Amino acid sequence: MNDSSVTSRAWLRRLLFAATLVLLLYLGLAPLMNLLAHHLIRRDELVKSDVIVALGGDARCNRERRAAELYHQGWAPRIVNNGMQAAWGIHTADAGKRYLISLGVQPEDVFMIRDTLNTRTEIKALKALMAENGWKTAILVTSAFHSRRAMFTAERAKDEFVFRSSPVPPEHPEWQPDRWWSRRGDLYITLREGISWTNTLLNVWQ
Amino acid sequence: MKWHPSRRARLLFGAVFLAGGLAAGGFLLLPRWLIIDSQLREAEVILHLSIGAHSRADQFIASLYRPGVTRKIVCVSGQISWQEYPADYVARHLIELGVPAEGVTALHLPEFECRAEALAELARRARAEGGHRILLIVQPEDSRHLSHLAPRIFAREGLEAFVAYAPEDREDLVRDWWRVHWKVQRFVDELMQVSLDMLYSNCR
Repeated sequence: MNDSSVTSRAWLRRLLFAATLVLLLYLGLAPLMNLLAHHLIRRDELVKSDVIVALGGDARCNRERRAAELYHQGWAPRIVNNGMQAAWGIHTADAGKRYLISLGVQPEDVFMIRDTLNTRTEIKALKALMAENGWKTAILVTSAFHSRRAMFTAERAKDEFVFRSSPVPPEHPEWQPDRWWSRRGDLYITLREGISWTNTLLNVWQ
Repeated sequence: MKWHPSRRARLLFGAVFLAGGLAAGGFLLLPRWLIIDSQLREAEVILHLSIGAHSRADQFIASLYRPGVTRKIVCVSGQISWQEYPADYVARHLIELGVPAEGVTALHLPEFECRAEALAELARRARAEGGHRILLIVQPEDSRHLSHLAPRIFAREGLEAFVAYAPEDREDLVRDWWRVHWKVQRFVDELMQVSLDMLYSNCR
């Protein structure tokens, strides 16, 4: 066998390997990306808790709506509603409280955390409020894509508090994990959540 | 024993080092890439698109109001909570700051897929206010992208559009920005929006 036939066989093997790799990527990429997106969601079995927490940052107020549902179902006797100053004269925690009351939640059952700049500061303030009131267990309500990171942040420090996750269902117009890359809004949210996860794990910006 | 990395390993280290350096350099250059000089002009309609807790644009916009020239200041926002629009509050703030009530209005924007679609709607509304020159007061980090999009989209309605921002907002945003979570978040968010818009024909 001469040198040129050995070389062409080696190239053929490389070409076959590359083609197989491309085929595997083509077939496997979509299920893998779906799986990754589904992995952002954490949903726990609910038990009666001291408090339901609607994390801030939802302009559609689906988190508040879900928290009110859980309150009316009797999973906890009170709701902590989180928010921040949105502009002159409007604070989203106040606005969220008004919405919760309109959904039938008793005003005295609504507590507020008012400076929720990001998930970590929000969880820190929540734990301080829970310690102050002697609450030990909480149900975290947030958007589906945010639920695993919120729980990771809450459970990162080993302390006496127990958290459970009950996110807003990932249904239209909320973020949806299946084929997220095919919709601009969902693509943006998923990529941003990836960046936020990186920041949370590396503990860079707080 | 002396370690002699192979040629491949040296190439790999070099590539990783170069990619890291480029990423770090690109990150630090974000304000220069995303913020352009304000194109401040007199305009018949001022669109307030810089509503936010960190913004001092309300005072800046109030100072831009010129009786006889400015027909309307339009405060623009989407919903921030259930049926609550910051635009309503900011419109009241502008009146408190001395702008006549008839010179201010609030506009509630529905959700759009991207800013190009929102700008098309804003251009229609701005034309309805009867102006020809439209000044968009935006957040500083949005200025390059919006100054690329807005003139083209507003021109379809026969309008001239200029993009500016409150100087205090720029100073505040770029000061030690790489150390502050919300500032980094705003720059990275903007970079993502600009990059994603390039992928969609309706957003370019």
